[in-house]
Amino acid sequence: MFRLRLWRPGFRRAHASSRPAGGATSLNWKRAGKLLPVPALLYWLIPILVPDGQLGNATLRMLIANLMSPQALFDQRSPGARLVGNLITIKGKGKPHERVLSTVRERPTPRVVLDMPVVVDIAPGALLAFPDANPSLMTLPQYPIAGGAPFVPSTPFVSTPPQGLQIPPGPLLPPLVGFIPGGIPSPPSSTPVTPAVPVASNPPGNNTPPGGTPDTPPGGTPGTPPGGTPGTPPGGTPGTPPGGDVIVLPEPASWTMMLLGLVGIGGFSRRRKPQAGKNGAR
Amino acid sequence: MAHDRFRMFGRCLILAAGLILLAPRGIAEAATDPVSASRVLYSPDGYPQLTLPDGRRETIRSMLAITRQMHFGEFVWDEKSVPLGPVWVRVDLARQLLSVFRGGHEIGTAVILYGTDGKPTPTGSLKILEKNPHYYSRSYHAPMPFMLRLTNDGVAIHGSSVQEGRATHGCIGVPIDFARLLFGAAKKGDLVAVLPAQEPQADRVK
Repeated sequence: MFRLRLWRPGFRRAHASSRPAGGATSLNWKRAGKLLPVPALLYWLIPILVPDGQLGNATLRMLIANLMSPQALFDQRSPGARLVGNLITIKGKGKPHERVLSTVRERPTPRVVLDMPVVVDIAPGALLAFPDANPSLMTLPQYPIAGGAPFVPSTPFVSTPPQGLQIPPGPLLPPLVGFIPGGIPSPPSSTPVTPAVPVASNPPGNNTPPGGTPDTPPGGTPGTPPGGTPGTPPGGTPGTPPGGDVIVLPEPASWTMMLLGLVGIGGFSRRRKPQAGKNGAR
Repeated sequence: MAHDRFRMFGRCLILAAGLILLAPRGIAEAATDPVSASRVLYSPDGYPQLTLPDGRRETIRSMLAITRQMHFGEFVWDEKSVPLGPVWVRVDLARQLLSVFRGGHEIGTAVILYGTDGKPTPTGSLKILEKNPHYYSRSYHAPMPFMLRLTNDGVAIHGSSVQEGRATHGCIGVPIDFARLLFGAAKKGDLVAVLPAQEPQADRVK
């Protein structure tokens, strides 16, 4: 109820008579303030208008003594006093510096983020492992396996294949059907291959796969990840969710500023209304 | 009606503030010598006096008209039309200022550095004991150009890089160009009054 009355336009003027007596005090202060220009004018005009008179000379001398005395000049030009205990070091560097061990004191200064080179500057071959982790596995010969995913043997097993080793077919180790140049055939044949041919593998000491050169990933240029420009994550701009647009939520400071602006606009419009009523109604 | 009164009151206030602000400047310009407008000349029948730490009083005939705040590393030197006379130096640690007087006229002033709280600058009425334009401190491994030694334990006025936040080991650091001028103006035996930092009211105008 009280709030509603406060927000009603013209409420303050209508209830001016019920204000406490403090308003009279502020009115007196306002009246006294009107007299301030008088001594200021006298202070300024007396030495100017009566320069040769005794009053003018005395006032001028007093003013000079007060305003241009050596102490006043020292005070005006002083950069300020130094506080006791203000300085914690002697001959400080003026700005905060890093405290490091003497062994790492000579390390190069790291560049700031804005001076960092763009992502194109990546050395060739740095992204060879992308997207797979181990490039050495990509150079290994591929063995097509009937009815399942290709089996990648471990490194010691492939690098030194024993001569004439008969690998018995078992449930854990699927039978090897032979070496197919060019990699895994796609789509994989659903027809089971008869395990008749013994194992064929690279000779020892030759790790070059028939499909490519070592250190070259299949299907890509060094330094360029498959599916995009270097530095751009696959799927869009960084920071953009793959699902759609970003929902921007204002921070509390923005909300506060907006609310303050609205309150200010409301206050100004509320102030103007009584003036219009004053001119029109009264 | 009330609105007009309020406007009138505001105008009067602005006018009064302007008059108050402009009045000291106009009076000061009227009081200074028209030949040297950058100097505040005092009337011969009422020269102000500065009391030194040992009780002596020095008469001031004119001051450099610097009515603004000086910054660290800044100095003013103007000895134009100032007659020859005894030179004395006033070092105000409280205000971080150094002033050079010749014959009662101020000819130079600068912002200074002084000793830290752990190594304070000695105060009192001192004398220039030694002059050396190319002094190199063996204690601190630092050049101290245009050195004017004040005490036997190494306190001196010398050129330094005067920057805010810095301090000395007890010496009085002034800008190097100012130190050169001071070195040329002062001689051995001249008075250097060092006022303490804690009692700025030590010297008063009489």
